[in-house]
Amino acid sequence: MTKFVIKAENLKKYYFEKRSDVITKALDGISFEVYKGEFLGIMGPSGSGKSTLLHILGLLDTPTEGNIWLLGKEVSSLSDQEKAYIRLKKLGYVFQQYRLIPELNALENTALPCMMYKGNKKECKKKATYILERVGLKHRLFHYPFELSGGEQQRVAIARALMNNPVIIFADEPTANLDTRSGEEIINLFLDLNRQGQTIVMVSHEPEHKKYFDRILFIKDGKLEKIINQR
Amino acid sequence: MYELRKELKVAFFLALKNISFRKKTLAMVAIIIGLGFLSATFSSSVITGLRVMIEDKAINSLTGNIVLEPETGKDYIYDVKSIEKKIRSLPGVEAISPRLALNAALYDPVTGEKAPLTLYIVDAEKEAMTTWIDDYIAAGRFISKGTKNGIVIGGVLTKKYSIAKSLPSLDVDAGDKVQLILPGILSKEIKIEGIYLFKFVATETFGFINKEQAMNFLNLTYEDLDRASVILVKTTTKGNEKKIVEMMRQLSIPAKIYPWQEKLGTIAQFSDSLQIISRITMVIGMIISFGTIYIMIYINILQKRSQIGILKAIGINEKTILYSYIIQSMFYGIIGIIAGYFLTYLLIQYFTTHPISMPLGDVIPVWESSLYNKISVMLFIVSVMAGYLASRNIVKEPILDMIFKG
Repeated sequence: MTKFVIKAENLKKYYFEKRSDVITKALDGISFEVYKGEFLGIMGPSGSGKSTLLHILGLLDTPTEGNIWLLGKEVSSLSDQEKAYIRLKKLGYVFQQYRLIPELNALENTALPCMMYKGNKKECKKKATYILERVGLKHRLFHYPFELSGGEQQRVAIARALMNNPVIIFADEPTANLDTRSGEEIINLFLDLNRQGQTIVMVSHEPEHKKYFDRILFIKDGKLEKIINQR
Repeated sequence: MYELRKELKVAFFLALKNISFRKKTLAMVAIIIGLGFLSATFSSSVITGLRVMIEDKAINSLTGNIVLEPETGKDYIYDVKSIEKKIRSLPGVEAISPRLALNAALYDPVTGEKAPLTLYIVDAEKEAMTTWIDDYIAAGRFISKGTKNGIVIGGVLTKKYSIAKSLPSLDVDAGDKVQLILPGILSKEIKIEGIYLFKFVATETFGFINKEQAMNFLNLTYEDLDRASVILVKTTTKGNEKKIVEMMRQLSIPAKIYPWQEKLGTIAQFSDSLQIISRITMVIGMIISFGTIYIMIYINILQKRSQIGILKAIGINEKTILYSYIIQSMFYGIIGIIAGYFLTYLLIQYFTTHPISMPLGDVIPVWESSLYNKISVMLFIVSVMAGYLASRNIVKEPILDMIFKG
């Protein structure tokens, strides 16, 4: 039996508009599992709730209703501090707009989660150097975000997400801000990582990405429309 | 403990990176905190300078640091020489000048104008050692032992130099001759040897002649002059007067002895009022600068909302972020206080060489270390508070709001 790392059960996210008494249902009862080592794609039209789902799975947001089990443990109702610890230790997050810390160079940006987790700056920088080499940024270790191209910044963001050997990496349209070539490089990087056993959940609106995913969750109007299994 | 150490290490790392990356922000924050410090300190220093100037002028022309007056029922202090000897034996006494006062007037026979004055018969050298009159000569020179027929007068007694135009004065200058009148005793032509300007009306209605002339004009003997209307004592340090007065009182000196504070009632009161104004000015300056510093640090942290959101998203906990911004605020506070000290020092140095000209005289702002230290501590606390409150409010916000709404 295939082990799942994440199980989402009846996830709902409602936004209440106080002035107009209108309720927006960003997610409306979504349930699914993410299996260990799979490359899961979340697709759907704009405003369908893809990013909201990813934010909730990544513990960046709280569901209005429903549960999330990470490695068998319910995590959506944990305290902020406990969630922060899980984000640090077990999850990696890659944003569409890279979201690096501008005051830190590539090496420091990458090493930061490790420093928070392990506390040993030297050891963390050594590991960060190794990971940055893996993502092809050996020559950019001491460059600041503003000195890097979009593709390079996204590689740093991926390196940072990998730093504490996460159980799962969440990527929110990581190629949307990149040119075609850089986008392909980033996708190939994710595919490499996935081949090495890394579980990845990626939101994408680009149809050409479909072929890379093991499974695809199609979301529409906050509801799970269908799941396509490609392997 | 291990967790705290780890959090502090990361917080320190982030704070240091933030500060060193944004040197312009650091410079701006330092200048603003520095100016805040300056606004709290400088006006207080100027007012204290004014107070000190007034006190010093009064001490160094009217009373000395300690003043001796005749006992009740007597017109003079007698046996001045032996009193001088006793006082001189005390530690902390620098100089003594006995003064014998007479009511007199100056008369200009050409215009017919008359100006009353208090004439002091003094030992010119002792007077010069004890007071500042000789330092404030604006025209001519101060009397000396060898002055044969000369008087030094205050500027108020002359039309040219008077700062109190309503008081009687003569149209004379240094070198001119006038008639010195001691009612019922003497009327004699005398040369105006020098004119002093103290910018202090109370002091500028005096005239000074030396003892030798008094003996000559008034047919007085040395024994006659072994008396004084008042004896001025200059101490080595301002502030130790009360201690020396206590010692003097134990020497059974036949005179009333006062420290300057007790004799300069009105001036002391004025001085106290200035002290109060100085403190109020300082408090207002402090409140304004505290407000400015608080808002500035708060805005600085508000601008980092998105960054705080990212830090939270990658798993940096709230405490670490909070520590990081508190450390940054502490650093800003310290740099700002150093800048404040530096600016205050520069300004005081400047005004020491270019004193502020006021009607009462030239004012030099006073460096008040203990006051500045207190302001520094308060500024530091305000900086840390601003850092803490601003970051505490922000780190509690939802991560996505911080990242995407900035």
